[in-house]
Amino acid sequence: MNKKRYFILLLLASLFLSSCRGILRIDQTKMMGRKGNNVKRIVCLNPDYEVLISTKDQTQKSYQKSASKESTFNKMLDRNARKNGIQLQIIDNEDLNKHDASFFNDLAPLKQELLQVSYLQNFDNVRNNTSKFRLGKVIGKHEQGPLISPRFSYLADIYGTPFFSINGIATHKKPKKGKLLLLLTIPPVGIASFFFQDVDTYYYTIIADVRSAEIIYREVRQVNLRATEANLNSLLYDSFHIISK
Amino acid sequence: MNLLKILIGNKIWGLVFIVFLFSNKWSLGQVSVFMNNYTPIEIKGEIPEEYMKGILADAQIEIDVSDKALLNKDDEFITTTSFSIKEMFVSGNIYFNDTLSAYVQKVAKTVLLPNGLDQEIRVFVGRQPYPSANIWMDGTLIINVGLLALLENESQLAFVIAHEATHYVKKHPYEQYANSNELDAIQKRTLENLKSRINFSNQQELEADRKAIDMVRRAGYQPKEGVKVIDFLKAKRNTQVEFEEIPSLGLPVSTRFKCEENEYKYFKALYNEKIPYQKKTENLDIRYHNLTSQTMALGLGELNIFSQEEFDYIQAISGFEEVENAFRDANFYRSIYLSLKLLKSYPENSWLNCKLAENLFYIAQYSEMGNIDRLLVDFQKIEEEDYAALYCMFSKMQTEDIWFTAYGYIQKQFEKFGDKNETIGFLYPRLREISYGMEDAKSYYNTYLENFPGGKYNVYVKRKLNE
Repeated sequence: MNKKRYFILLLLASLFLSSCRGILRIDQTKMMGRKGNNVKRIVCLNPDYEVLISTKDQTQKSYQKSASKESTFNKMLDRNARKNGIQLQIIDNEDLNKHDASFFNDLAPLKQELLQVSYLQNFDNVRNNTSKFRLGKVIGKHEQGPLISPRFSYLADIYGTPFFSINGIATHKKPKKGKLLLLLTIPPVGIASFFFQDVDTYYYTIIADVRSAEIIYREVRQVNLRATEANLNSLLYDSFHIISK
Repeated sequence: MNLLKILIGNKIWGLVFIVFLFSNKWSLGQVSVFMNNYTPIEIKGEIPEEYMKGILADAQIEIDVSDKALLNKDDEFITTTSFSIKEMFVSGNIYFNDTLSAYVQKVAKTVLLPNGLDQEIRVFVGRQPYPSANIWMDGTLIINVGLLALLENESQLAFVIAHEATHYVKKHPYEQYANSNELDAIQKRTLENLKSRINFSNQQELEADRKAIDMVRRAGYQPKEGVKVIDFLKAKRNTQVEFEEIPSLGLPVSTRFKCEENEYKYFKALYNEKIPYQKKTENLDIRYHNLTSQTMALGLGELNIFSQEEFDYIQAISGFEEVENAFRDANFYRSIYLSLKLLKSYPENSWLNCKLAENLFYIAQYSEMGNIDRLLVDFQKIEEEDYAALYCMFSKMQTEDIWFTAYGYIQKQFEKFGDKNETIGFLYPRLREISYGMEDAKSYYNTYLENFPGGKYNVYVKRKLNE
């Protein structure tokens, strides 16, 4: 094998290995796993897009980069939901006008509640579950999800659907570590590593059914890929496909 | 839950236990309009223009960063400030078009106008149930309900506003940012550096106190009241509850969970032994002494330019809002603690009693799930000894004990307010459903629907009944 072919093979191998690294964890109630679950319309509460940049000493949020990506992310959410037959009503604070004061009574507290409950409760706390484990992929099916306050149930009448979600992307750019060592030990991979950033992208979804006052679906994906439009579209499509099934 | 059923026969224990828990001599003033009920603030009307500025990304905030000597990273500073403010506004944690905001803005105008700052500083009230106020370099000043509930008169509020306004005039937030950016990575990690940063900030606090006295005097308020504000921040007022009464209630239930002084002081010590907090306490002492000497020879001003009654009304609302906001933050222990303090002044307030019941319900629910540790939001942050004692007591209780306490209290409130207070009207059937099953709870759920036809829980209850 000549040097050039050796280099290309190693480069492809390293790219393949890096692109395949990922984790998917889905927890859902049995209702979500059922065919024709009727999650056809979801109110999406102010989607988040966060760009985190780490240096050797600290991790900081890049507000400017985060803000610039938000509207594109919203469009991608909408497009991929529609492709899977789900109508997504995105409530974005950027679209609020002076008549939308009720946002602060209803939806902002609901979002806070969903985030809090996601921290305070696990799906496992509520009822026993049966989980399917696959390499890098965990799907847990549960009788019941984490409980939110039933005081939000009236929102089902106002918005014409009981399903409310939080969707978000977080990309984390990590400092380049050990690349010099890689260059010295496996030169082709070392060279290749200088061209690619070490980035983790996380996508998360939490869906609550305010009528039954529980979180019915929670998904976290982590891939070792940059948050390009193509990569995100594939994540979002797969996610909405699972939700719509 | 079986134990709960057995104990229900003795339900009065739970009630007595809670009601007498804080039987002490201290109480807040009373505002007669809140003796029987309270309705938490709901946002109404149009979103004000200055609030919209805080929400929309394309509404650029204006910060004067012309002083390049202070900082090279001015763009970064503006962006970080701008987005932090936006996040805060959009979170729903800032009030608008409400009684609290209107009052605070009125007092702020009285303070800021004679000092030429009324056009530059925008004052808002935040929902945080902690005594704090913050100003940003775009002139956004947020005073939290936790602080409003602690103050006693307009002069003290005027001092807080003037103090924060000085931080703005002197560009302290900007200097703080520059100061932390100048440190290199190794410095940032050292304890000495942490102390020096606290000292740097204390120099700014002392300067803000000094200038605030002048501003308050110019506005016609009483400058000596500033000393009391610092005193409150030292948590002296919070510890006026005679906490030694808590372990010596002599009631059967309370004796079981009695915490000795060394036990509950452990929770407070967690806070007090931290270096930044020790330093903060030392610094508050310095500020207290400086302010005392600076205001000693000063003449009297007006304690209130508007009226003490109006301030008392605002303070009472802030107290109720603190309880509500701590609950919203799932900080159930703090919400209970604040409720118990307010109940001294408003023992028959239905909203307050029912909110306490609701907090107990959620603590019991989380205890049942095995996740009670995650509710310890204030762990390592407790300054008040009576709060530490309450915390300690809950830490000793088993799930059955908490359910038992919650059940007794909820049932009693349901008997009193079940047809008036929507929360308790819903909570009691929910509790019966958990304890005895849906069949038993059905009639209670139906009663809820009859009493509250347009209630917030209606969709949930109807679904339950149709299941």
